[in-house]
Amino acid sequence: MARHRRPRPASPRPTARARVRLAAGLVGASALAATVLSGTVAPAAPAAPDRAPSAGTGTSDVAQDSGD
Amino acid sequence: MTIEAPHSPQMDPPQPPCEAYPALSAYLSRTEAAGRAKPPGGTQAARRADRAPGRAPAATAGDTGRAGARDTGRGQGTAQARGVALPVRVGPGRMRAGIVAGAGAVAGLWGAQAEPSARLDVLFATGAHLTGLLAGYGILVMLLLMARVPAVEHGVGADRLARWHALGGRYVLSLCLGHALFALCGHAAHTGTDLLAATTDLLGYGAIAAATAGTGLLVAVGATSARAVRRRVPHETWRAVHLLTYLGAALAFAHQLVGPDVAGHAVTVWLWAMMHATVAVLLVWYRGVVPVRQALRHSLRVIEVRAEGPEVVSVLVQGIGLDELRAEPGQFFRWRFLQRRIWHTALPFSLSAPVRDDTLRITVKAAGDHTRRIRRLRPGTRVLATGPFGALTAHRRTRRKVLLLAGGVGITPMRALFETLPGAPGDLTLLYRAGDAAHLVLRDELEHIARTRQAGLHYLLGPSGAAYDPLAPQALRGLVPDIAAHDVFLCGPPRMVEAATAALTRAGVPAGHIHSECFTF
Repeated sequence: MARHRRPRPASPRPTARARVRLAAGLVGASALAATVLSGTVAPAAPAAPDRAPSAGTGTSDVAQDSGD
Repeated sequence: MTIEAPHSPQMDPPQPPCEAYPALSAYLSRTEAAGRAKPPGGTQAARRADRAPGRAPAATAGDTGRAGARDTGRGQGTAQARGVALPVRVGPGRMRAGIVAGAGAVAGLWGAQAEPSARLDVLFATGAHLTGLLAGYGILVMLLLMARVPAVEHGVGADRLARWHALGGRYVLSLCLGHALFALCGHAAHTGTDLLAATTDLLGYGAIAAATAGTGLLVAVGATSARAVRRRVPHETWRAVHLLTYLGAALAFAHQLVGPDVAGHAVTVWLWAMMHATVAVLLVWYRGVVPVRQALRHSLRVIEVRAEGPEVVSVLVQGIGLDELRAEPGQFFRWRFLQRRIWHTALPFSLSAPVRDDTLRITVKAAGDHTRRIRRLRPGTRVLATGPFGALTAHRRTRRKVLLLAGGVGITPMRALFETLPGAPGDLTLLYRAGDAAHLVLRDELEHIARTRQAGLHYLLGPSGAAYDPLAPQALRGLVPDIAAHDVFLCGPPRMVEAATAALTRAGVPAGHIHSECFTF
């Protein structure tokens, strides 16, 4: 099959600088996405039993000093 | 266009900078230092034999060694002066350590905030938090393993990554299901309701409903990946279902950000989002942008399909600027030929010759419907090739002497390495296992390379399971007496690779010097 493209000069291997630029670009895009996501994604969720104050009376696992 | 081994009697294999082979360089430095420290009674031939592999195989070993050492110094300085970037590789040890360290950090995040309690709802909730954090982290690791990041692919190897992904996927799915169960039981115990009411209550939260749907998708992915199911399902169906992993992971993301261990501090929220965003960006870049860029830049087309033997063809693919791909002998691409009835499947095939004159060559054996259709490719057919992938390359070399052991169509990457691995006369040996002489592929090329490079070449013929096993330890030692001093590169059918690895180990080759890659994944 005939090819009619101008031959390109041999491509140099990537420089270390190009690699650093790519890494910086990918990290930058990730950081931007992370900032947007952490700032906008905040759905409702039920209270976690191990973090919320105990519900109802007489169910606390910590002795309470009523001060009476 | 024909790709053949060069006919010049002074064939000059490529000499990459020495720092591209750190393990080999370290070994040669040690042996050189030991040679210099030896008493003067050592023979000159022995000292020459310890030098770096040289430039011209036809030259004497001494000239070769000295030339190799000079070139090493020049190559290093030149590469650094040009600012040329050497390939970055993340080895399997480092990758494993990184994954374990990440899991440890995630568990530490949970441990720093867990509050001891004997209450049933708290116990369930604590279990749910730990399993949830590890499941979320595990999903990211599974996605990262398949993101086709070059440093990981070239360092760990595609087959090992696929094995880790398959094994890890089972644990991650178990963690997801465990998390769902603990969370449900904890909520039911906390609200004093039954499981059904607790389920209805939890599904009223949008993020949790989405996460539940995501878990369902992951279960479907896991079910179709089970060995018994995968054998019965067409590859395209399995692949289509497997892609649902992305959707499943995305659906589960939102509820993770409001989990109490993550949501406790703005920094942990941002870091958790950063982990997810990083994996997503890597996936988009390396699985989306890079293949499209490669396809547009290199314009690959089939130029010839050549019969090499019974049921075996070589496909020559030409493009533009293929040296930019930096494909190394021993590596493979994932090939998609844009022809009717064949375009929808991409399969991995190794290069069976080094890249020359903007031409890639693969050699394919007809083993199924798709590979049979490859024989009917028409010249001019467009090709999408993503890669290169694979870690079975010269960088793994740690010794001057190398044994290449190939079985069946595993000869394809070995043929490329046989031609290009740097080595003085006698440093390289190729053992080629096949059922009979009619099944030997690329035989003329192999014999030409062996003659030109003064390398050893042996055909191990005979059916597998016969009384005489040419891959038995004593047979291998008979063919290669100093086999324990070799690096062994191994490629072939899985059972042959397994048997050969065991035989090589019994023959005295250290496990760290046996390098193999399996393509049935």
